[in-house]
Parts: sequence; structure tokens; C-alpha cells
Amino acid sequence: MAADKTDDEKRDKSGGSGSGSGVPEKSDTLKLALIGNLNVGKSLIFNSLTGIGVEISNFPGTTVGMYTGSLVHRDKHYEIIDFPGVYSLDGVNDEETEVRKFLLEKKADRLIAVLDSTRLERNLYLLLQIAEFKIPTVVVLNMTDEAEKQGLVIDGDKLSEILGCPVIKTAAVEGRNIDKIIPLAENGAKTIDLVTRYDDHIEAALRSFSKVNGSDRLSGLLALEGLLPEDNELSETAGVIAAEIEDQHRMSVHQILAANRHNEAKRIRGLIEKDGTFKPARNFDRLLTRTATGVPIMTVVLLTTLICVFIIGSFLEEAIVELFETFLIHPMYELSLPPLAENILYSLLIAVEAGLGIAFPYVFVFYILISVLEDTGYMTRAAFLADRAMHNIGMHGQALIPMVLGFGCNVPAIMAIRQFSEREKILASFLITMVPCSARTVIIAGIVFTFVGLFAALSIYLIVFVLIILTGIVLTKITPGDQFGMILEMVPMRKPRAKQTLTRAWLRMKEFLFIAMPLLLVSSVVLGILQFFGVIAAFQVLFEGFMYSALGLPDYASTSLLFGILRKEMAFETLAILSGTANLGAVMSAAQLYVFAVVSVLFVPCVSTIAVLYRQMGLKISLAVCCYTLSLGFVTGIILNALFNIF
Amino acid sequence: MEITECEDYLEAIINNSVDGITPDSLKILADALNKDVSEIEGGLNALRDEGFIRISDAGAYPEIKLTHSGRKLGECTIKKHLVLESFFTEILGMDSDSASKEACVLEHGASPDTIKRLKNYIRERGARHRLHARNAHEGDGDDWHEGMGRNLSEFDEDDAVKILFTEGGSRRTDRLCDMGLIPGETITIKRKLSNGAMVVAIKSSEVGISPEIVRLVFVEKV
Ligand SMILES: Nc1nc2c(ncn2[C@@H]2O[C@H](COP(=O)(O)OP(=O)(O)OP(=O)(O)O)[C@@H](O)[C@H]2O)c(=O)[nH]1
Ligand SMILES: [Mg+2]
Repeated sequence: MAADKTDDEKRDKSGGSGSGSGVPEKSDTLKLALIGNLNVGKSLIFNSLTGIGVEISNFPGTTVGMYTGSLVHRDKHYEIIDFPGVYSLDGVNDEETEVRKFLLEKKADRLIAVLDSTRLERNLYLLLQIAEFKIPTVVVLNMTDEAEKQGLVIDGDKLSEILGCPVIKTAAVEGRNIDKIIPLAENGAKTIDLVTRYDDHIEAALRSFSKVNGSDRLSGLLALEGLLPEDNELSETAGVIAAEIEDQHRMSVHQILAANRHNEAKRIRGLIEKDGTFKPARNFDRLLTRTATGVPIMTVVLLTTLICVFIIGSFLEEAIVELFETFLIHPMYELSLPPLAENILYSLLIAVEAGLGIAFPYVFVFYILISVLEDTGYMTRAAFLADRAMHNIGMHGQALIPMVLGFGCNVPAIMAIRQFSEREKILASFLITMVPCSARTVIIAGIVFTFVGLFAALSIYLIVFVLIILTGIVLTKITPGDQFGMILEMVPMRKPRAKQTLTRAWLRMKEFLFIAMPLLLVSSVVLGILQFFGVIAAFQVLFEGFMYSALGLPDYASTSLLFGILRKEMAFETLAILSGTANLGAVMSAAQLYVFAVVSVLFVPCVSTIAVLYRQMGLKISLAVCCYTLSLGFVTGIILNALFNIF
Repeated sequence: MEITECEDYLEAIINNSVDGITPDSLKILADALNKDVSEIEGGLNALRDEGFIRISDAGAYPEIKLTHSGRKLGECTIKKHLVLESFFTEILGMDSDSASKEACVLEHGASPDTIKRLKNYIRERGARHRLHARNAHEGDGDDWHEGMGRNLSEFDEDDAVKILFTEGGSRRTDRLCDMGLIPGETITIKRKLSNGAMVVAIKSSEVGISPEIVRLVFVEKV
């Protein structure tokens, strides 16, 4: 098996309306698409099949955009596409539209429809829609391990008989039967011949379309819902008829179709599933969604996470920095190299030290903890509970998930806002870019926790949260548009599995190692050279006055802040490089370190964040976000500096 | 020709399926438009000059075909007419004759947005109306039992309720529909917060719903 793309290329593509093109196409390459409800295990199956690591998480909507991978099985090439999860194919949000378009353009040769055996009925509802696209399909009944635990007995053969296509029962976490998917998709996949019968009026309309316009059932249905991609005679006629039907039923066509499909799904489930023993909700789960218990739990979880990151991270940091100093930095000085070489080599070493020794421990610990949190299924409970609070800042509970993701990295968090309404997207753009990501945690932990103290470090989070809330409150007042309520599925609570959790933490960590580290090395060499020739000094002179009088910071802080735009934690790393020591406490006062940390945490998101923001929201919003955060950072810094001077 | 007159013509042509210029059809159009038969032919020619219809003399009588823009304008006018008319009859309680006449005048001025809003309004009102009408017929054998439909927000934890309908028109509750919250389905309230947010069990999954969505759902106790 071979992955023919690096993670970064995939990540790059996934943000757009990526369609899986761009992969070298061989005529005998079969394109298989993984389709299904949210959180059913599509991405896990994708990973097992292709060996590529895409994000798998226990919350709905992990996969945003499409990921493509390829594999070779018995000398045949296959291309596999991981779709984002959808609840239906006749919706109007970005994911649903994207998947529908992909299917309509017949870009997939085979569909692998992944169903959650424990939520069969709702999953069958989507399957009935998939069937209407008439693409050869293999049905995968996933999560059989959980179904078995609940005592559900599902008759796969019977389902296969009803649908007229092959059905496999799998448990992706155990790898059970995953190897059977490809051979079946190649040889056994059939179009599902079960046809859902709709309400009489709908059927009559479909018949008349096929007579008058010669259109097939699928286009007829889509036309009735006003979802045909192009405007033509069919969509016009259908528009008029749909209006008539809706008037008669006093329901939208979507509702009528949904009711018919759900009834059919219920019928099928009745035929194939024997209900198991009743499983009462776990008490622990119930504590999480109750205000009185849930809110304290949420606070504790958040604080524990941060404090763990600080303490474990700083412990690792000290050990690694110690090693660097004794085994690399000191020996280098003893070599007595020529000044330019020494300067460059020194910057390089400091950069590696800052990256591996300082950033790495915090980021890695953070990613592991967030990963654990994601896998437990806690996130959807927290989101539900946060709904009310989130309303005050103009969003709903669902937005908590991207916000929490934002603690890891703002980039995927911004990508995850696609599912929101326009108004919420604007609000989220501002608020998420203010969330202290792991890189900013590095700054807070590395500078403030290490040299000032735990409470000072936590107080920075407090300042940021307060600013986020204030920003949200103001923005809700001035942003036009509708607020859309939360409808969020509570995912099952699961025990995190060490392998999956670590794999994901590593996946995210790789990005840090392979993108951030080289960037850090190159820029620190450039910095070393510039410093040697006095360019930096000249630049700093420009801002010296402002830095000193307004923020009370040394002149080289301006350069550090500038580099902080490349990657947030570089603000800290370049500070170490420029001040010539990783022991910042020796060269700057506590107040200076604090102000520096606050300013660099708040001001302008990093370039990668700006880039996704631009792609997602356009020039105007991304510019507005940059300007806003820039002024917010400086104003807060100036106020803090003034306060420190008074007291 | 004035655009409002064009709209009237197109409406009449579509409503009466006129496809040619025959003495009969001229008479029909004249009646529908409240005009003299002699005026109609000139009117049709004007309509052709505006690009709304094509007139071709193929057989014994000239044939009339609607152009794309003609069909569009006509259907749009008819839709407006219907919406206005049902507003007058259903909501304001006017008799259908005067409702139709009134609609004929107003249809030309109403913007598509107004019409859309009116339509949503009628639909929501109508849904409640219909429900009440059903409830009035006690025990008439179908699924609708006695007792008024109540808002989901009035119920408490552990209540099991049956969905009657959801309000909010258009796309707002589509996601709920997809998750299985459709009329006739029974759901259980698992959690209710003081602000009205709920976790409900629908089919075998649990779904968190914020208060403003909860308020769009009408149910009855089972
Ligand atoms: N117990 C069990 N858990 C599974 C199985 N398959 C997947 N999971 C878990 O289900 C969760 C969701 O898996 P994903 O692969 O991210 O699901 P997805 O369908 O890609 O989800 P979206 O991208 O959100 O649509 C993860 O926590 C998986 O570990 C299975 O067969 N059994
Ligand atoms: Mg996925």
C-alpha cells in the first residue's frame, strides 16, 4: 500500500472545494469514495486502507473538505476519497452541496457507504438517498463491536438482499473485515435497486417530469427541492409544482421526502435488526450535560489541561535545554570559529534548541491532552453546555469545538467553521484567531510560567478570554445576519485508545517538526546574518522609541514580534536568539516579559492562519481581523505597561 | 404596453392554456382580461414586440408560444396572485371572488420578498390551523389525538413526546428532519437546561438542541 501524497499537500487541498483531481490519473484507476453520516468511522477506514493519516476524532464533523489517497491492491491502482460526513444529500450547507456535486458529476466509480450499526435507522436514511444516485455501492456496517456490546443483532445478509448490493460488517478500530472492502468494491459493488416510494403528489410530479422533460427520478427529486445545479426547463416547471405541493401539504418538499425516507428506513430496520437489551445511559454522561455539575467539570478540565501542559512541558524543557547547553552550545564556543561563522552557527543551535527544547515539549503535551479529550466524546457535551454562554458572544454551542481545536492550532479551527452561517463565520473568524493556540501556549509557558510564575501565566489566559468575550459581545451587536441555533449530535463516550490518540498527536506534531522547524532554522540563519551586518539594529532603531516608551520593551522585541507573525512561538525563539540567551529572566524584568507575552499572544495571527482565513473568508475579513488583533495587542500592551509603571 | 398589462396577459394565457389565436381563444382572453375581443389581437402583437411570446402562422390559425422570459414573468405573476389570494381568504377571511379581484390589482406591485414572507406566514399559520381543526375532530380515527399541540419547550426531562410539526419554514429545521425529527416520531427529553436547551433522544442517538430551535417544534404527550 502506498500513500502518494504528503500530509501537507492533503491539508492544502482539503480547504478548498477539493475534488480529488490533481492525482496522476491512470485509466485503470478505480475511484472509491467513502460516504456516510458524521462520526461513523469513514476516516478511520480511509487511514487503514491507504496508510495515510487523516484526522480521526470522536466528534461530528472532523473531516472538512475531501481527502484523496491511493493504494495498490493485487497490482491494481485505486484512488480513495474520504468525504466529510453528511446527514443528507439534499441539504444546502457546504459539505452537503460539495458531496452532492461530486456524486452528480459521476466523479466516483464506486461508493463505500459507511453506516454506524448502533444508529442504524438514521444511517439508512442517508443510504436511501445515496441509492438514488445509482452508483455501484458496497455497504459497510461499521461499529459492530459497539453494537454487539449493546446486544444489537443485525442481519447483514437480509440487508444485502433488500438492497441488492453487498454488505460487510466491520469494526474499524479492531481492523475487523476492513481487508474485505477493496475486493468487494472491485468485484461485487452493485447499484442499490431498492427504490423509495414517495408521497402520491411527489410521485405524480416525477412521472410527469419524466414524460415531459425526459428527466430521471433523481433529477426530478432534486429539481423539486430546487437543488438542480443548473437552471433549465425542468427546474422551472418543478419550482411551480413544488410550490403547489408545499401549499397542499403545508410542509416543504424536503420535509415530505424526509418523512417518506425515514419511514422506509424504519421499515428496513425492523426487518434486519433485533433490538438488544436496553442499555441505560451512564451516570457519568448525565453529569456532563447538567449545569450544576457540568460547568465545574468543564472548568477543572480546562485548568488541568493548561497546568499539565505547563508543568510537564517545563520539566521536559529544562531537561532538553540542559542537554543542549552542555553538549552543543558550550563545545561550540570552545571551537573559536571566525566571528561570522560563529554567529551563524550559534543562531542555528539556538534555533534548534528553541524549537526542540522549548516549543516541542509544550506543543506535544498539549496535543496529547487535546487528543484524549477529543476521543472521549466529552467535546460534544461541553459544546451543549456552552451553548448558552456562546450565545452571548453571538455563536452557538457547536462553535465550541472549533474554539477548542483552536487551542491546538488556529488553522484547522478556522477550516472547521465552514459549517456555520455567514454571520457566525465572521464572528468565529475574529474570535478563533484570538484563541491562544499551542504556539502561543509555548510563549506563555516558556516566558511567563518559567520566569514569572504560574498565576501570572494563567492570568494571561484570563486576559485573553475576557477580550474574546468582549469582542464577541461587541461583534454580535454590529454584525448583520441571522443567528442559527445548535443542532448537535452527542457522540458516544468512548475510552480513548492509546494508539489512536498518540497517532493523532504525532500527526499534528509532524506538522510542527517539518514545517515549523525548517522555517525556524532558515529564518534564524537569516537573522544571524542580518544581525551581523547591522540590518537588524537599523530596523530596531526605527521602533525603539515606541517599543521603549509605550511598551517598556527592549528594542530587539520589535524584531521578535515581527518574526512571531511567521509562527507564533518564533516570537519567543527569536527573543532568545536576539537577547543571546535562553535564560530570558536574566535580561528582562518580569513586567517586560509579561507585556511581551501578552502583546505577542494577542497581536496578528500567524501567516498560516491568515492564509486560511483569506481562503475561507476573503480579503476584507482577514484584513479586518489582522488590523483588529494588531491594535488590540498593542493597546493592551500599552495599558499593561502603564499599569506596571504606576504600581 | 405597460408591464402590468403584460403580466395580466401572460397570466391569462398560462391559466387558460392558450396556444393559438382562434376566435375561441380571443374570446377567452377577452373575458379573463375584462376587455373587448377587438383589443386582444393588438395586445398579443404588443406582447410579441416585448419579446414575451412568439407568434407563428403554421396552420389554419397563428400559433402562440411563450418565450423564456414570458413564461417566467407569467408564472411569477400567477404565484403572486395565488399567495395573495390565499392570504385574503385564509387569513383575512375574505370571500374568494373579491379576494381574487384584489389579488389581481396587488400582484403587480408586490415584491418577490414580500410574497415569500407572506407565503411563509400563511404556511405557519396554516399548519397550526390545520392542527387545531384536526384536534377539534375528536377520535376521528387517525394519528392525531385530542389535546392541543404544545411547544416542546413546555415539557420536562424524561417526558416522551410525539412530534406534530416543526415551524420556521425554509431551511431552518432541515437538519432536524434529517436526524429523524419528523411528524409522528416519538422522542424523549434527556436533559433540559434552565435556558430551555435540550438533549433529546431521537431514533438511537442523542441530539443537543438550543432553545430557539426547541421552540420551533410542536409536540403532544404520548
Ligand atoms: N468502537 C468503535 N469505534 C469506532 C469504529 N470506527 C470508528 N470508530 C471511532 O469513531 C470515531 C469517529 O471516527 P472517524 O473516522 O473520525 O469518523 P468519520 O466518519 O470520518 O467522521 P467525520 O469526519 O466527522 O464525518 C473515532 O473516535 C473512531 O475511533 C468502530 O468500528 N468501533
Ligand atoms: Mg472523517
